Amino acid sequence: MLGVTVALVVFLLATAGGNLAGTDGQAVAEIEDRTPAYDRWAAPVWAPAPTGEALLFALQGGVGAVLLGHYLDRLRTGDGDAPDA
Amino acid sequence: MEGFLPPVWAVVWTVLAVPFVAYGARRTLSAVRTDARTKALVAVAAAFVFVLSALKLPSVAGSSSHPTGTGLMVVLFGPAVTAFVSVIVLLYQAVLLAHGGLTTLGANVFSMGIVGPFVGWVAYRAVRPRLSLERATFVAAAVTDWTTYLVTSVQLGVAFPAGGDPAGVLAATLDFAAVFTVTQLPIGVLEGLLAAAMVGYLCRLDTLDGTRLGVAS
Repeated sequence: MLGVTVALVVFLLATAGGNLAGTDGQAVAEIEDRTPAYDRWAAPVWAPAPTGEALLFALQGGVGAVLLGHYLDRLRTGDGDAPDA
Repeated sequence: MEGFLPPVWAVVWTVLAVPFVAYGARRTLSAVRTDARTKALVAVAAAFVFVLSALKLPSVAGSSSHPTGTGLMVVLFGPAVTAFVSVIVLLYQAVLLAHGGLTTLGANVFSMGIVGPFVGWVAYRAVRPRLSLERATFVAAAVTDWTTYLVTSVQLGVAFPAGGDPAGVLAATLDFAAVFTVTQLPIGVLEGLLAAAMVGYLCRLDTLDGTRLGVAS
């Protein structure tokens, strides 16, 4: 199973090519295509710069991974059965 | 997508999502209070959603998209708990990353937190008697991912129909689905493999009794 997973990731990375359009961006383009007169009626109060966005996504993944590791460790060592400190 | 969903639909999806999320919040709290081990399992499944939905994966045809990561939670705790957890994840992405959006939060919760997980859960129940836990989890996670994006397509289709009749809605839905489907098919498979691997690992830790896996197991 690990082999299949790795093969799939490699396949996706290898076939991706240079510019990756996010599907939500493509969906917005589709909306603008259909209804050129449509104006977005709200905009984010702030948006991170592209590098900042990548960083914040990485932060989300990092926070998730730390929590995942922490609680898996609790389950593994059986500390999960102990009352919370 | 902030501001792109017409206000009326933003309200509709939010109103539809609220009762599921409220019920899910109650279910989540009671799961967390059961015992420390169940609490740790909830945290593991929620962290799994956090990690996977942070991945922006390249896919076929030069586009990229996110896994949902909700499949593991669906298998372990069912769709209601998943609804509540996805609100937290989507709020984080809307507020901190300007990704998704507050005006689209209701619609996103409805697709990623409610319908996707529910259909994935039904698929899990359907195949579990015949498949091993890992294989059934694979099915649940892949179906959850694909359904999530199919619902998103329907939501965009009804908001931006190609004409005034149901055929116009269908045509627009198919157009939006075409944007997501190619990208999401392999990502759903990948998600299924990761969720199955995680469930297998949890099994080897011998931590899974008392959760919702017991469908003819």
